[in-house]
Amino acid sequence: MARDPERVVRKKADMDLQSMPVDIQEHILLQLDSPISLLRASSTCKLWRRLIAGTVFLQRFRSLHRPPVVGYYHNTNHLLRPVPIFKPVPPVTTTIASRYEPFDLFLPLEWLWMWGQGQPRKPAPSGDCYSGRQHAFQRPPPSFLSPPAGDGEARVVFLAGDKLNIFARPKGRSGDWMLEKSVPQPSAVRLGVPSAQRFSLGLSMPSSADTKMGMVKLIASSGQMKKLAAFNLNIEKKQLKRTEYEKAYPIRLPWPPSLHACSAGGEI
Amino acid sequence: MAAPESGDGNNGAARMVTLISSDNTRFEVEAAAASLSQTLQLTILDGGGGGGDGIPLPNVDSATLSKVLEYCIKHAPAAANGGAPNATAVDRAELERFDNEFVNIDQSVLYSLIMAAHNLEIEGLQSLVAKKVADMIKGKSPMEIRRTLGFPDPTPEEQAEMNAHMLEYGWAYE
Repeated sequence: MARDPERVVRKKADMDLQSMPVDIQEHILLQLDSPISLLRASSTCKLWRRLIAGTVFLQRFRSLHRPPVVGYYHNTNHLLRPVPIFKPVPPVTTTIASRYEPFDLFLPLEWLWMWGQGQPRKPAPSGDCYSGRQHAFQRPPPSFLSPPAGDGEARVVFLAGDKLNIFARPKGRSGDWMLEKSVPQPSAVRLGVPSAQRFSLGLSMPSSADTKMGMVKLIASSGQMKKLAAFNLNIEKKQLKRTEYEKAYPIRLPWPPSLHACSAGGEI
Repeated sequence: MAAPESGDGNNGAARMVTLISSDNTRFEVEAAAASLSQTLQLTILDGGGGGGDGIPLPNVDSATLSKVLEYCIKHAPAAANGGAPNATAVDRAELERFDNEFVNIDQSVLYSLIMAAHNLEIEGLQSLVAKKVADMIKGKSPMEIRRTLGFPDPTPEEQAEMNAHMLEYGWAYE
């Protein structure tokens, strides 16, 4: 039988992953289980860096490994104002906890349990995050901002009185949250709520579609519970944009910003 | 498990084909199992591999081929059902157990399997072995990855690039 010389040579070559065809290596990288692993792998060698940075690769990776939904927020009618209840997705307990190391959660789940209007507190034991129990917030929950591209740090936003307080963790000082800026709450006029009406504002988790840099989602409720409106507020430009109100807000584990930027075209 | 044998003394209903490894060992398997390989499928549909002919596989040695066929024979019934909805949870659990056990092997064997799965285009096996390597990588630092996978030591330039990249994404290493 005719022997394919090229194949014979390939067989003789010492078995080593780097000398295997590129599609094999790509296939392996696609099977990595988290964006963090992917990012680490991309430091390994030039070829992998090139493969991983490819738009098509990232789109495929994303379709294979959707960011897991951690849980949902529901607004419940609690006396005077809605109280958001966080309800973890059931399999969270088993899959997230076992598959993800704490560092894999780019925005730590524990943040969900920080509350208060001053300095964010050190969260309760993080085991709570996975227990599947329901947690009711006494006050509006923090909202997350994707990190601005510049410093690569995430922000936490609190609604405090008539202000939005934005906290950041300065580089090199892990653990300490500092008030970075304070933005006045948008007025009733700007929100388009008739000024005669009382309204209250709440913060919500940005949905996957509007987790753009520096965006925070506000929920305005006025009069009866039926009148709910949602807005995206651009913290930098102070621009308000009406968006869809969702009754429950899925919380997905976000992508590291650098990968997210690369794959923005393949939004799910 | 397919034992090496020659001839076609099989009287059963299932059609058999013969595969010949690079070191000339003959393997007789059901056509359905061998057809998990996209590469072989066409040849088999054309009626090849039957009788004394056999299909030569010059880039797969007998040790690797016997392992590949172990996978194909186990997975052929499920594949024939086409991801059948009637596959019971027990069946699926059994396949999963088999798969986990199957890739619990030396790295050199794993690498041979990767090449074989690629050359024979056996989709399920390709994913299985890729997943295994991915599992070996995860949670490791770039240098650990290189060592684990047997990459040569980085040149000074490569090392510098790695360092720069790791510095840039320092948060991924916290």
